[in-house]
Amino acid sequence: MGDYYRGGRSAPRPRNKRYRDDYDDEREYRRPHHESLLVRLQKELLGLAESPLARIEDGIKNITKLFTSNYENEELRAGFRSLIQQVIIEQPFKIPFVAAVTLVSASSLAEAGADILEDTRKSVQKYLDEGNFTNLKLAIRFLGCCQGMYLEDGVFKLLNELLSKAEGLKYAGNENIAVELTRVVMISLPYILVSSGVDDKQKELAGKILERTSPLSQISGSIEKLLRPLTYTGNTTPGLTCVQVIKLLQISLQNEASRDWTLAALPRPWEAFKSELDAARKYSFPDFAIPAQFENVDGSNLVPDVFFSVFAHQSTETVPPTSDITSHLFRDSLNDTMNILDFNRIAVARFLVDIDCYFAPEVFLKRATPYDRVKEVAGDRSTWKPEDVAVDAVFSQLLRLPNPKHKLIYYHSIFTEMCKIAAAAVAPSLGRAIRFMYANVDSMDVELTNRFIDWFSHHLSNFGFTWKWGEWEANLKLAEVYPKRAFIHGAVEKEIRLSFPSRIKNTLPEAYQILIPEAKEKDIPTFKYDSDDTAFSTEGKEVFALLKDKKPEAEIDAILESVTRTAQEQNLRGPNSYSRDIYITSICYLGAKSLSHVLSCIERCKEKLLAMGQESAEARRQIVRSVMGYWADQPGVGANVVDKLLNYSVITPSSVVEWALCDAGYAALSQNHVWEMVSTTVNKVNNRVRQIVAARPSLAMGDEDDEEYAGILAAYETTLESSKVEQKQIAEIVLSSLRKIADGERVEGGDDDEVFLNMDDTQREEYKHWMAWWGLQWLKAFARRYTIEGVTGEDDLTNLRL
Amino acid sequence: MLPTEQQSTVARLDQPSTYFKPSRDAHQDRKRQKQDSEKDKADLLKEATTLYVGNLSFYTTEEQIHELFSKCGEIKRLVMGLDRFNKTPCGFCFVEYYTHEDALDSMKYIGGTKLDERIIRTDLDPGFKEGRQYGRGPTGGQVRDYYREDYDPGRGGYGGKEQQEHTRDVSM
Repeated sequence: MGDYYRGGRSAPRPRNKRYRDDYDDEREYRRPHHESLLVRLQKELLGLAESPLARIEDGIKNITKLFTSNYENEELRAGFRSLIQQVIIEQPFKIPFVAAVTLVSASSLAEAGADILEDTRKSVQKYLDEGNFTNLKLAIRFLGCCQGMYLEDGVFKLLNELLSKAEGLKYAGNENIAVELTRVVMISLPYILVSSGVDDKQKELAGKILERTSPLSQISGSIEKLLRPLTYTGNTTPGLTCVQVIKLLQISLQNEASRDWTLAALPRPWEAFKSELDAARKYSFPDFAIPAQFENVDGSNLVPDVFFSVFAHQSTETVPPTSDITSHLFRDSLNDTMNILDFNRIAVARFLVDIDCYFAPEVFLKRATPYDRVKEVAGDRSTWKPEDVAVDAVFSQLLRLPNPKHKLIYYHSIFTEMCKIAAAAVAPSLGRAIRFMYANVDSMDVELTNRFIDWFSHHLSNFGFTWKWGEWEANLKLAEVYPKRAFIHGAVEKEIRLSFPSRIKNTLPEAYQILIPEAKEKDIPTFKYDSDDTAFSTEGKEVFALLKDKKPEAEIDAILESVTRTAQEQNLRGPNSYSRDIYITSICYLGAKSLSHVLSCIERCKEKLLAMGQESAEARRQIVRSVMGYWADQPGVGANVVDKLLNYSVITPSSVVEWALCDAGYAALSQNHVWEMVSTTVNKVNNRVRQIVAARPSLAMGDEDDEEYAGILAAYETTLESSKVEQKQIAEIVLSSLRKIADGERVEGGDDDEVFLNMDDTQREEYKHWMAWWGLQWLKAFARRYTIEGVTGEDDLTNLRL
Repeated sequence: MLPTEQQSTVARLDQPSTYFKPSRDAHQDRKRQKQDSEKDKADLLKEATTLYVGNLSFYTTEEQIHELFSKCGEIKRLVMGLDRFNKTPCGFCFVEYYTHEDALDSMKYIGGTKLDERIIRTDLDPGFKEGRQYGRGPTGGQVRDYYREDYDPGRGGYGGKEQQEHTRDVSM
């Protein structure tokens, strides 16, 4: 563990102290503590600006003095300089403050400043060579804050070179990288313009940059439609914008330019030292070699972000509007902080809660001001709530399309920690965000709705499952396909999966009890063949008994064959299906006690299951049907069993997909577990292709003429080809079935269908409307995935009515 | 010598804790030190795909554990820790992933959060082997439950030792 822990004030220092138990060794805590000068300096730098109580100028003065007066100390010098480089790329909020330390150090010891600039020059070149655009952006930001140390145009020289590169890349059709480079340039401007080097000439240079970025920030590409978190419908909360960040950045920078670059939100920690800085030595800006190609960068992973806010619609403005550059300055630093420091969620939560420490005073309202008192407390000052700005940013990352930068659960964990650190501030803010999303669930991307369900239930599981369910009670009366009703259902279902039915029942109001019927509370679902009403109940019971007693397979086969024969004699539809259902249902029932029980059953009956699956595609689909039928009341468990059967190759990915889109009932697409099953299965197939592509045998293994190598390569190509064929097949099944549902062609039985029995005409039409709606939403989500994977071209998207 | 590689400015949550360091028992300590040095242990965990999960309620099911831990990646195997005598869950388990990265992510994102309304603990583990026996106390459950003095309804009430003493009192 580091010598300079930065987990935040209330965060526990040694992990083992939190979890002390019989494995821990008490002696380890009592290490003698010698604090070297370097350690002290490191601690001071890392603590800079973190406390609203300590004056930042004093901190800067102390650090600078300690650093410059001990500059001959080789260990201290090297250690501190490398720490500065590390803080720049790990703690974006601190960059202006670390830059101030550098400026002030340079004013008292020129060598110290020059050395840090040289370190950063090396870093910038390295990040350019690696194509690491986030680090590049942050290192340039640091140089921008140090603009006052450079002669003439300073950092603008590099920015213009980067724009030339971006223009070239855009011309060459590499739009995503071009946009990313443009963004790096644009977000650097404000920091240069609040640096000690700012004057009218600098503002003019910035204006010229904006002229160049204007065409670069206009992106084409039909995928944009697929990336919108919300689709506009009549019910959407007004005032929502789903525009690409890069476009908003251009607009807001132009707005700021027209206000003579006031940039009121950014800190100017150097101001107290202005007179010293003016006298300091200045340097000419170094040259950088910009790579001709960013070979290491996969442009397809750099899909331009779309702006998303859960607070943009409010009558009282608690987060900056997107037309204000402040909005993007906050977001950029918040997003980087989250995505860089995923290895310590507690430290991240602390940074987020403390956001008001890192910007100019008066930018934010006092922490934890209740929403309904914002106007009153603010008077004519800022109404921006620090916790809203932070919470909004976490949601933007949790709900990022096409993919979040880290696993979704990471963003869940940030919220959990934020609530632990500052419940009074964060919890009400989360509450408003949840209500916003619930209100707009009818127009939200279906992938995001499911992420929302997943987060919401997981979050509640960390806080005693308390939520004011009462306010959504009216929507319980809606039919199951209505998005709001589907959300409630999905969330409760997921809560149960993390807990158990009776516990969740206790947390829900009376009206919600219908969501947890008695059948759900049973640990082990009933075996339908125990009831004499089920066809072939005698045979079902016999098969189960034989399986349970581990009797020879031949005995089971004999019964199953007799069932099929009888079914044929009685002219029943799908005569084979009865015996299969008996067998699969019996395995489920036998293994119902737990996942390991069912796994050992599957393991034991593997051969027979494989043979059954190999009979036909219909047989495989039926296996899924029987499993999900048995687990109808606990579909999450059923989904797990299906997933295991997929791993055992008893069924294939297409069996799962076809079951979900054709057999699982009209309301299937509105159900969270169905989404998860299809989504997981499609991802498995896609990942397999990705893995094979990544595992391409390298030439280094042998000569090109080498026969052995040629053989390996040929085998590899075959594997790759077959995996791609499978991927394409699944894509076709998914997209064509969804198209049918979206076009309202799914209803086979017509209006006489059982589902519609107790509905009047309006209800039936509404039901069908929402069925088609889900179809279209799913279609959008999977078209997006397949476009990203390169399975479907952008041309295929033109047919989508989005 | 000057540090060549800068360590992170923020502590990492995916580092092994004292869980896999020598136990408090000095005798065991010496025995283990003979078998494998500290370095070997670090190497063993370098590719670890298994997690030890502790402080579970005795009533938490495999399905619940699966539901939470699969948020960090597909689970290869889940082994419940059972009381040596009763063969009932005794508050810990092993979760095995397909990749080391998924195991590290669980350390970072799940360790220290709640499952079944208890803060759970995660640690990298060199891997579960059939018949591996350790950490069970005289009453068949985990050692920590034997010495525990508080009343924990999720873990069978009072600790094993207290319970033993209590029964002794009653019988006298």
